[in-house]
Amino acid sequence: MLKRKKRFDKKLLAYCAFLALPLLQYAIFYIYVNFNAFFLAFSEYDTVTGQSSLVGLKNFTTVWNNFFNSAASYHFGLRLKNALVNYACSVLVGIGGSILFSYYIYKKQWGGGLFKVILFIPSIIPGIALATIYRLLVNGGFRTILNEITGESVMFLMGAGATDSTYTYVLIFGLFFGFATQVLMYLGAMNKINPSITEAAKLDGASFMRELWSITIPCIYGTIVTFLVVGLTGIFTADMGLYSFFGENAPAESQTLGYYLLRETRVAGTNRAEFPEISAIGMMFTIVVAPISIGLKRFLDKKDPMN
Amino acid sequence: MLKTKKSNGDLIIRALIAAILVAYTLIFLFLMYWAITTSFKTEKELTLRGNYFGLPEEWQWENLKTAASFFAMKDVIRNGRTIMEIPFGTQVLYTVLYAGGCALVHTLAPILVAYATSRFTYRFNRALEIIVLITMIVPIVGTQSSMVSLLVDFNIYDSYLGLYAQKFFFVDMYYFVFVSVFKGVSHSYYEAAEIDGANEWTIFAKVAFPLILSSAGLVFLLHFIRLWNDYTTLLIYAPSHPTIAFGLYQMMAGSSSGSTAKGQTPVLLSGCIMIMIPVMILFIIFRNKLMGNLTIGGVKE
Repeated sequence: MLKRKKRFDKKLLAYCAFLALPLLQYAIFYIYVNFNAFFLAFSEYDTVTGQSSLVGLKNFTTVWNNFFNSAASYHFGLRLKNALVNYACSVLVGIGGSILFSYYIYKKQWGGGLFKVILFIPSIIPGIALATIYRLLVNGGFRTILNEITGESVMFLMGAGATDSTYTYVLIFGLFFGFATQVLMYLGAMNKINPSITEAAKLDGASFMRELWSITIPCIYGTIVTFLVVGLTGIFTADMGLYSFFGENAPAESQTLGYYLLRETRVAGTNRAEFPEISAIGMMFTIVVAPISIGLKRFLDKKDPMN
Repeated sequence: MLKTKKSNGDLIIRALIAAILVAYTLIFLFLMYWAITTSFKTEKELTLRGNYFGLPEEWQWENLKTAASFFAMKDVIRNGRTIMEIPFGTQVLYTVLYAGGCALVHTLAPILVAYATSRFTYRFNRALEIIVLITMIVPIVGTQSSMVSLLVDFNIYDSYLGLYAQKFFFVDMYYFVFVSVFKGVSHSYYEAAEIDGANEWTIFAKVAFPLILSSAGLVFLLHFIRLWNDYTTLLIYAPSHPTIAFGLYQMMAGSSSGSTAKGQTPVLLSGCIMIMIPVMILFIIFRNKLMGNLTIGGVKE
């Protein structure tokens, strides 16, 4: 009995030892960091004394006024609009296109192997390199051709001095190079569909698109839901590669909420006086996006065609 | 008759998707061709003589050397002191330390937790699963400032220790991958090792880990490539440890802290090609593994 107890304790000890460091890291770098962000959002830092003090909702009021009741509110509206347009396009073109491409490759159609490689490569090329190449081509050779066709003499298509067109080109960039991960994930899910189901559909005379709509999409529904829900968070976090294109100087008309948050954090550096307001912005975004994400997930789970 | 009509419709749709994919392929290949050929031209050839899309009149190999010199960052401040310069070679070393070290710890953390939860059956396993699911589902935005504040308080801001400590995070979709891989390992291996007198760490290191080495290697590689390409993490948490992606960002943005190649298209493109080469080599070697079957969200049958 004693021996059994000793062995049991040894196992428990080993269990605790394996979990100790990862859980300690989780406690400090996730739980504490989130609580600290919460505390920061309600506090103010005195640069003279180096002390923090609670200030209630002051930071939230400042952020709210910046967003809705000041000259800067115009920019907030633009950033929100840009982020929403990006989400809508990534759902329609990104998710829609990825499903179609994955299905084409999954059905072993002509050139499928090559297309899989080509669609995947952008995900392993450094984003900063891809953005640099794209921007130089658009502002260089492509602009020259466009000027010759239209007879105009536009200096830039992206960046300062191109406020109207920058966002469009940034959006095209994101959509064009954004298929890789999704295609691989959908393809992985499609390859796990029981072949007897698709065989039965074929025997019933299901067409190429009918099989996609009635069998494949319901079977990979979980993966589609994941991308829809994760993409929603992107409304508040995605910088659309703007940092890679323009650093801290992206044209105001092309900015997104994610870019704004990233830039504010980067500019603040280690200046503690800036942290409370940034944390308040983050918390306001979280208050909006967290319930919507969870709600959307629950709603889409209920609509699962396989349930 | 109906069947023929349906087949024609199918054919048109398949041809349409194929046409889109062919167009995509051509555009992508053209972009790469343009980047490679232009990186070997002179600025004059490009702007004055208008040779935008042709082959270089003369291949300018020295552009690579010039690009390497433009990567160098001057007057970088670390711990309140100004460092003279961080050249390209040091940036390569920083890239390996960042991508290699962070990929290693970010792979190891979920392995340890997944092993513990699949090897031992305690009630806490269920709690852990819920913790992982909640953390992954609930999106929390804008905590970077809080993280910077913590790193400064612990005196590990702008250091590899700080970066590694951040990345030793087990909550990840790969946690579920490792749980599933460990569950596939027969417990008879563990029992045989126990009979031979092996302790739990020996069982993990010499029995369990070698069996999942292939999956661990793939996850490490995916993390490594992602981190090789990342520079925003370093911008915020370790600005004085620039990787080559960071160096290219500085070149592109023409930051005051670094040399700038703004207005020198071929040199900038040479910089792009230089940081792409290592990941392309990794891709060529491991392409089948990298493009293997990854799934999230589950599949219904």
